[in-house]
Amino acid sequence: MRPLDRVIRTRRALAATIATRAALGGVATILLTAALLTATLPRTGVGPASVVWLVASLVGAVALVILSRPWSRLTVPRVALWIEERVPALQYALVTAVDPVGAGPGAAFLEREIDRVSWDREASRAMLRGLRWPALAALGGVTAFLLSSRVGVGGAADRDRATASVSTAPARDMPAPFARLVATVRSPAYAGARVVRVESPASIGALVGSTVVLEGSGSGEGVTADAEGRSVPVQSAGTAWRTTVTVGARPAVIRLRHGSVERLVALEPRPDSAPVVRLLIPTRDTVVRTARGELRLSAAAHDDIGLATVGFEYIVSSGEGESFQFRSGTLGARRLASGRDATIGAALSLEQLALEPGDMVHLRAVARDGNNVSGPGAGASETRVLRVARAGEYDSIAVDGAPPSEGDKSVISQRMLIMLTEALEKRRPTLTHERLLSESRQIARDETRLRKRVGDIIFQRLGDNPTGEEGRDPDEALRSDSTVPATDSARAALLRAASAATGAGDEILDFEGDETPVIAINRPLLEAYNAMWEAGRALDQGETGRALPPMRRALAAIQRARQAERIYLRGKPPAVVVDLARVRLTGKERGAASTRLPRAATDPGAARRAERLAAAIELASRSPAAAIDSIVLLRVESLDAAPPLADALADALAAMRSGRDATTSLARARRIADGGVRDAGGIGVWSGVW
Amino acid sequence: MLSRAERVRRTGEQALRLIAFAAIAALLWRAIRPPIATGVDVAGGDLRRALARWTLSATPAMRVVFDAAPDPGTRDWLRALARAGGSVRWSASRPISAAAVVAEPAAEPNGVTRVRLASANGEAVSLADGAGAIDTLPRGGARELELGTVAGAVRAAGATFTATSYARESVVLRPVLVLGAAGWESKFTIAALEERGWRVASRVRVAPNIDVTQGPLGSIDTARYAAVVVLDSTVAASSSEIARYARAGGGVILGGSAPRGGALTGIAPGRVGPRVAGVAGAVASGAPRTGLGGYPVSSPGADAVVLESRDGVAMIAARRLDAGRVMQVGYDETWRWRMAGGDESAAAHRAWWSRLVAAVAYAPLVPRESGLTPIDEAPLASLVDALGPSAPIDGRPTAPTDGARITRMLFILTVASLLGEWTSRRLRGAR
Amino acid sequence: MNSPHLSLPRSRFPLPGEFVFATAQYESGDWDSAPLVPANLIDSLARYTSLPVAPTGAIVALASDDLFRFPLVFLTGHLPVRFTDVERTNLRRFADRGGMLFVDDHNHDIDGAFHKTAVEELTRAVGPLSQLPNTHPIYSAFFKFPDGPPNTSHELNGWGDNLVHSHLLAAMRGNRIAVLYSNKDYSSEWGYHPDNKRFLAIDNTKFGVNIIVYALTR
Repeated sequence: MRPLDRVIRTRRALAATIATRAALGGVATILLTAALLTATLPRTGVGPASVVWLVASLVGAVALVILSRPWSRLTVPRVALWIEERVPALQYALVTAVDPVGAGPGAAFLEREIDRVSWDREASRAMLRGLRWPALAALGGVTAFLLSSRVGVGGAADRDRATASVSTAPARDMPAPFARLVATVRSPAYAGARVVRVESPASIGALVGSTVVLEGSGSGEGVTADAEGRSVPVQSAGTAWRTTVTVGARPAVIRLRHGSVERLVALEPRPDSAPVVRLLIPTRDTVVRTARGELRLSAAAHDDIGLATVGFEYIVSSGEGESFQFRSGTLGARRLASGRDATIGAALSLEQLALEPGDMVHLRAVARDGNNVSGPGAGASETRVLRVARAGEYDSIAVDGAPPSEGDKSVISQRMLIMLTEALEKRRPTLTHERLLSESRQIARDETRLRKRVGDIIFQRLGDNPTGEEGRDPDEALRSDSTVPATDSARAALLRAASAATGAGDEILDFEGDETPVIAINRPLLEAYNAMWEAGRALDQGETGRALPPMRRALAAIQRARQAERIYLRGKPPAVVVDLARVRLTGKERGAASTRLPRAATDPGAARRAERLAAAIELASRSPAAAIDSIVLLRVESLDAAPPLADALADALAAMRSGRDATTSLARARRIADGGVRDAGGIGVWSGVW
Repeated sequence: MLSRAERVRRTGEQALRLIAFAAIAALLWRAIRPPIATGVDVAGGDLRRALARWTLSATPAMRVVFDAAPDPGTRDWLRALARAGGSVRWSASRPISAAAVVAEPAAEPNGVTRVRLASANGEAVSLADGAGAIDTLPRGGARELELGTVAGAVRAAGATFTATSYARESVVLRPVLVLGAAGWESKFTIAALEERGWRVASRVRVAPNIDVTQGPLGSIDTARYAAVVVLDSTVAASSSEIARYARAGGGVILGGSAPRGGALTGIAPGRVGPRVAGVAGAVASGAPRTGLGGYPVSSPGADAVVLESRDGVAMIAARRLDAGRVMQVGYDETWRWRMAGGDESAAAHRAWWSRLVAAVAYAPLVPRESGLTPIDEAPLASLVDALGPSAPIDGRPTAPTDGARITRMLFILTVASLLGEWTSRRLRGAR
Repeated sequence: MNSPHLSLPRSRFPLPGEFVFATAQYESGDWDSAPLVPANLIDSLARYTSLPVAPTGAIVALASDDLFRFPLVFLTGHLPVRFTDVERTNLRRFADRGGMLFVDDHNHDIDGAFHKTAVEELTRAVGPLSQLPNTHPIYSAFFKFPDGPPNTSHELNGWGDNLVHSHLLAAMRGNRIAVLYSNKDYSSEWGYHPDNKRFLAIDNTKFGVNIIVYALTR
């Protein structure tokens, strides 16, 4: 290799050495500057840590620039001189050989002499010596920075843990009993009785019913503990003391005191959620013609801790109108030893349920967890309904899903008419004949109206004048002599049909052609119609005693008609429009004035919490530890009353304990506590924010 | 034998040495000399020392150059010096912005504080209190804010001023009287006010001469009620009394068609227009009141202030009536907002009704125990009030030439001279 | 489902400020088993008070957003009550925002499926039901009922569970009733055409007026 090439190689190595020196020196400068600033800044907990790094970076950059300056002087002659200084054996032959002017005729001689000398070892030794101090400086910088973190506000990140927060005061400031506080949390037996140890806890989140044992070093003399104002015993166990509390349903703060020092530990109960259950099969409600076969059921359940039982429940409803019977049962029930998820299946035999047309089966899946502390949580799925269609549903009469309303109304009205007639019959001896006749005829008119409604139900498909009475005055209908041979009118046909159906007449009803066969007509309603007619005639003559038996027969017939399955008339219930103008303020009785009790403010504690937070923030600049304690207490109180505020305070506490800047999270907490700042945008002509 | 250049160089080095020694001597002299009174003394950055100096030795004419509005203590000191017989004139090294901040209690329960801020457009202003930053206005201007809690004094700070204020009074809030027919609107209006913390007295009519009542009911006057809310036109019998109450200083809110009732027509800000329906489905939107129906305020009077409009039609207007205030709120079914507006609608409905009442309520102020925090609500205005307007020296503003600056310059001169002398000496190889 | 079902002629929708009696429609049972109760109570309200009221009732689905247009809703039935998730969520919001639900067991049977399932579902949706003291303001909101809820003829005739239920149940929001629950079968008691009131010596719908006036004023 030519001497020039060897010098260039050495030059590269020197350049790398200079770069390394500069880098090490820059790093050392940055770390030393940061350590110095960190250790000397006041411990506020809300200081700008970024400023420290900015200043340190600037200083480090300046150092890097200064230390990099020799790079520009790395010319070949200088490098050759540098080598000559360390290898005297060269006797300036190298400098001459690399001179740009040239060595002249003696170049070959110089080259031979130079080849006999190696300077690699000396050069390497010199370069390493040059890196010695910068490396030591960098190491010193790292050490200084780590030390400054322990004494300043730039807390180490590994101390910031969600479950084991840093204590509210530096360990060296805590008295011995609290210096090394350890919490042992045991979850309830149903949750597996897991044990978790938390070192130096500030807050403990655990299931309701968990036991928490706080242990500290020392005999415990002078240590007192209370939770929510109630004293908790402190036991001494050799060289340690301990106190035990149970996590209740509400957040609480355990106060440990030793002399004038207080240590707070917050207990945050975690509720045990109820299981979530999904009914997978059937996927929707069903209507079946006949109740045969099996219905497959499938469900999935999930719990946050562990399921205890899973199964299906059903309720069978039979009946209609006002009369229903219910049966219930379970199937596919399983008891689970453990596990948070379960899938179950079963088959429901419809034959075993002995379902009748019109019956409904309500199905759902239910799961319970093993919580034996606050009671098992129960979850249920959506309900599916299986209905057995009635025969009448396949008639074209069926319109919409609704029970027969006309019958109900008639039942109640007929009962009422019976009660009125009975009352009138009782008063008969005290009434004049005219008065008796007048009241009796009033009842007769209503009986006629009811009879018309029953007739409408029966004959609504006979055309637009089903009974022949529509549009006519009921009184006019009454005045007609029923002994006069009836013309072949619809009304006469109705009477004959009623008589024939009830066996009261001799005539055998015959229908011609394609008229609706009488067999399709509801027999009980016809009986009711006939009885009402008879009762109406008696009432019209003032014969209240004689009217009562047919009225009661009509009532019984209507009740039987409700059970009938041949005609199941459906439709929207009639919209009764009240004539407000006619009835307004016609009530016989008057109400009375009353007083109202005021409602309470929505969150009476909100303003107080906002004030406490503002006071705690002010306190932070004077006494960060006291401010942290205040915010801990406020957070515990807010867990139930204002959960969003509690969340925001948790973020702020985490930042304050780790020495990070908590300004943003405290400002956010303050906005939540205040309900936000209302801003009008500008000053308007009327005060108030719109 | 030295060359000419070399001689010049050495002479230069000696000159730099002399300059450095002279500067050191001047610094020493300035440090130990006694203060002297001059005919004209100018202070700048080191104002506290200048004030002390002027106080100890009477100075006939004092000039001050500020780079920011001074704090109240300094301002009062200068005012005292001026009143003691001296002439104090001031100017500013850069324009000091005019700004003002005022904090006062709002007429709402739960200690709401209203803060009004005015500053020059374009200059950023930050608002804070004892507990930290509240808000930042990047371009200044005029703003009105309502704060739930204020810790200590409210501070508005810009580049050239810091204004402080705090509410020195408490507001006395009496109950609100709500009148109308029983219905959803009366039910939910009363509920909103109570849930917000107001004490409410009410009389709602259920039947002729049958009312549901609550609270202290007596004659309608400002000794009993902070405001009267009339929700419909069924209270015509009390309309004269309500009108008298408003003129005497009370606050009246006329809701829906209430202005049609008797004497209320004469006090309302406008007439009752034909009812308009709300936009279907808008109650759950970001502009919930567009989904409400109501009676617009038609033909608002000359003294009426329209506070809310919709599609060019006024829905809320207010006016001053003698000593009182009357507001006409055209909406007659705000309860739909609470029920159908979404999960936050109940809180928004409450806050809205509370602000309506607060905007008209008769709420006398009583002084509170004053704190130790000095207030300085309008720094520039207070400065002009104390010392008069800015007066540039000799027709143009002067640069600060106080002692601290001279000291800095002497120090720099010393260091530069010594450095230059040393560099030159070393470069020529001398030690 | 956002389409309301108003049983009104097209020309007669409720006027602003009018009270509209709403009946709840729910998925699982016979929600419309008392179709005459609305008209009867509307009639009573008009007879005794001067409150503006719509002349006919409305039907509103519990799962619909229209539920929030009617702050008082009546619910009855005979069959098991099983709310869907949407119905349950809607009911909770309805109660939280100030609505009131009046539930009546049309079976009049505390051992029956309606009562057991309705109580379970209401507890899950709104909160626990507890006995309402018979001195509660609802019993003096308009007419005076010093002995608490009036008995129904169905109770007295030994229908259903053969019991006279001395108390109503309620779920509260603060000091306000959010859900009023009855086992007394007012659905049958009030389920007649309002014109038939003239036959009654004592109007048995007066307690219904109390419920409505309570809802409108508390």
